[in-house]
Amino acid sequence: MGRFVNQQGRRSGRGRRKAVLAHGFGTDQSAWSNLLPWFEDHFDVVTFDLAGCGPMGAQSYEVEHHASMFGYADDLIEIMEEQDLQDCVYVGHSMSGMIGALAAQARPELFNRLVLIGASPRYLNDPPYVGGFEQSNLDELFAAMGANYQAWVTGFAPMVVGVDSREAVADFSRTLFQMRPDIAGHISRMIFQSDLRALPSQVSVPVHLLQTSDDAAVPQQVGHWLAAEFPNATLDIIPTKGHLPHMTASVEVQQILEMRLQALTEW
Amino acid sequence: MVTQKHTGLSALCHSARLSCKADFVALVRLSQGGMAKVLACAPPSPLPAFRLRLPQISGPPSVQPTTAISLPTALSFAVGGPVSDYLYLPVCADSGLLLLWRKTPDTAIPLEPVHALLPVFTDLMNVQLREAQEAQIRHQFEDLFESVSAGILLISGDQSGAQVNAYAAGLLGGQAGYQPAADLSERMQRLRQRCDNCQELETSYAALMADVDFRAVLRWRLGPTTLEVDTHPVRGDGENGRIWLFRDVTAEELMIEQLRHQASLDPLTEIPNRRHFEERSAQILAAREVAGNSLAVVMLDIDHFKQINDSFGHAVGDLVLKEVARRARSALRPLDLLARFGGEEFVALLPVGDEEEARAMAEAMRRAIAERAITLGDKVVPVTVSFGVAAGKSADRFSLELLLRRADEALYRAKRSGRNRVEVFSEETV
Repeated sequence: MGRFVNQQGRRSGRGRRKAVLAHGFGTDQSAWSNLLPWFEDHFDVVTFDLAGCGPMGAQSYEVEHHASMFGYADDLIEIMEEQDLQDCVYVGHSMSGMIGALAAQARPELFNRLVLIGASPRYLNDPPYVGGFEQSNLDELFAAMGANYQAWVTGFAPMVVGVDSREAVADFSRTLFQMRPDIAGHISRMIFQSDLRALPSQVSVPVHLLQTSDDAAVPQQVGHWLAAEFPNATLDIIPTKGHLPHMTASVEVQQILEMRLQALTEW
Repeated sequence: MVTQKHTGLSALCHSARLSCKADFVALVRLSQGGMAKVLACAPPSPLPAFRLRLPQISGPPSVQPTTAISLPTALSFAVGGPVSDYLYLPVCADSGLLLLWRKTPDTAIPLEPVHALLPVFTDLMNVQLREAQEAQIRHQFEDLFESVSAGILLISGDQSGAQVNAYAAGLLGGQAGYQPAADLSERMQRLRQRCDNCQELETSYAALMADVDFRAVLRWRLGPTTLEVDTHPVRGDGENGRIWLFRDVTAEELMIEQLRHQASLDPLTEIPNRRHFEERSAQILAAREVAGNSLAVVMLDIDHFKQINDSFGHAVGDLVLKEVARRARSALRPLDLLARFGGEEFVALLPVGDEEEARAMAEAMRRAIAERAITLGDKVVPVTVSFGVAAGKSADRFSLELLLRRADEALYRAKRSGRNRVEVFSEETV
C-alpha cells in the first residue's frame, strides 16, 4: 500500500494545474473544507492526512521516522512521486509550512510555488529572533498535555483558533481528540523544538506567506522574518486573530489566493 | 539527533570527501525498517535518523543520479541544496559510506583512494562500538553505584584510592567520586571514633586486620543511628581490592525490637503473655539458683468471671481483665513478673526472702483488686480474685513446673474456701 493511500490521500478537482493541500498539527485534511471548492474549480487537488493525524493517524505514525520534520518532508515527496505531481502549487498550514519548504529545498522541480499559512521556522525566542515562546512556556505546555490531554485540548483549541467561532473550536477539538495523546505529545514537542532558520534562504521556488495579525502560535515578526529570508517571497497579513485562518477567515484567505495565484488560475 | 563524537571517523569522512570531490560524505548505519543513522559526516552536521532506500545495483558501486531514488530531505538540508548524484560504498554488513554531489562530477571520480579508506573505517567503527559498549557498562555501573541505598567504598587493587558513592560521601564527609586512600582511611577512622561502641569496634578490627583477606560485618552505633558495616575483599584488577558497604539499619533494628516486644505481650491487658513468662522465668530461676534466694509463684484467678461475662457482656469482661492486671501490677515491685496465663488466670513470679513475704505480696494484690468495684459508665462490677502461692528455696532444686503445680493446688483450695482469699501451699494440707 502506498503512502498516498496510507495517509487517506484524496484527489479531486477540475483544473489541470496540480495543487497539494497539507494541513497543520492537530487538524486533518477536513481543515480545507471551506477552501476546497475553490481549489477544485481551478486545480487538480491532492489532500491527505499527516502521519499521526486524522482517523488513521496512529497507523501512519512511525516514532523514529517522524521524530523530525525531515521525515514528514520525505513523506510529502513520496506522496507527490506516487501521484506523479510536478510543478505544483503547494499549500501548507502551520507545521506543513516548513515541511513544504524542506521538500522544495531538496526537490525544487516538484514545486511551482509554496503558499505557507502560519508557518514558523522556530517557535522559541532566540534574541534578536522572536519566535513567540520561551522554553518555560513550552515545558508548561508539554506538562499540561502529558498530565491530562482532554483538559489540555479544551484550553488549547480556543487559544489557537483565536476568534469566537464555536464551529472552528469544535472542529479543531474533534481532530485533536482524534489523535492518540502520546503521538500528539511527540509531534508537538518535535514542532516546538524545531529550528529550521537555515532553510528559507535555500528555497529557490516562489513563496507566498499568509498569516493573521494576531496568531497565538506565530507572532507577526516571524512572517516578516520569513519574508526577508526566502529569496522570493510575498507576505500577506490578514487583519484578524487566530492560527487557523483557512478555517476561520476562509473568504479573506481565498481572496489572497485569487490574487497571488492569478497567473496559474486564469487558464 | 545522533551526536557524532568520534573525530577519527569524521576525519576519515573528510578525507573521503576531499579525495572524491564530494559535497557531503556520511557514514551511515542501516537498521531494520530502513532507518539510517549517521555515525559521522563531513562537513559535520547534526542529522536525525532518516529512511534511506537504496536500489540494488549490479556490478561495482558507481556514481548514480538521484533521480532514480528519493534522497532523504535531511541529507539535502545538510548539503545545503538539491543533490544530483550519490555513491554508496558498503563498509560492512549494515554500514556504508554515502557520498553526495550537488552537481554531476565532470570527470570520472577515482574511487581507489576511498576504497583504500574502507578497511580503516571498519577498524575505527569496531573501536567505536567497543567504546560504546564499555561506556554503557560503565554508565550502568555508575547508575547502580549511586542508586543503592547504601554507602559504598570500592578500594582499588593497588589500594591507592577508592571510588566513593554519594551516600558514603554523606556519611564520611568529603566528596563522592575517586578519592585518595589515605584521606578515606582517615575519614573512616574519624567516623568510627565517633561511635558509641568505638572500643569494641577497634578491638574487633584490630584482630582482623592482620589477614589481608579479612571479612567482617559489624554494627557501628552512632548515637541513635546504627550502621551495618560489611567489608570484604574484592578482585580489584586481580590485586587486593576491598569493598566497604555501609547500610543504615536503625529502622530495621527498631522494628525488630518492636516486633519482639509485641510478640511477648498479651494484646488485651498489655502485660507479658504466657510464652514470655515461661522464657523469662526460666532465666530468673537460673539466676536465683546461683544466688540461693527463694522464689514464689502466685496463681491468680478472677472469681465468678463467667458470670461477669454473662451478665455484663464480653466488653465489660475484657475491661475487668485489663483492670485486674493493672491493679495486680500496681501492687508489685518492678522486678516482679506478672503475666496473663490464659482466660481469667494470671501468674506472678516473685523473688522473695521467704514464704511469708510471698503471702504478704499476694495479699497486697488481693486488696488492691477487691477494695473497690470496677466501674464502666453506669455499670458497677464488684470483682474479687483468689490466690494460690507456692514458694521454694533454690536449695530445694525446685522446678517451675513444680511451683506452678503447687500454686495451682493452693489456688484450688482458695476457691474451695470461699474465694477472694490467699492460700499458701503446704505439704500437710495436700
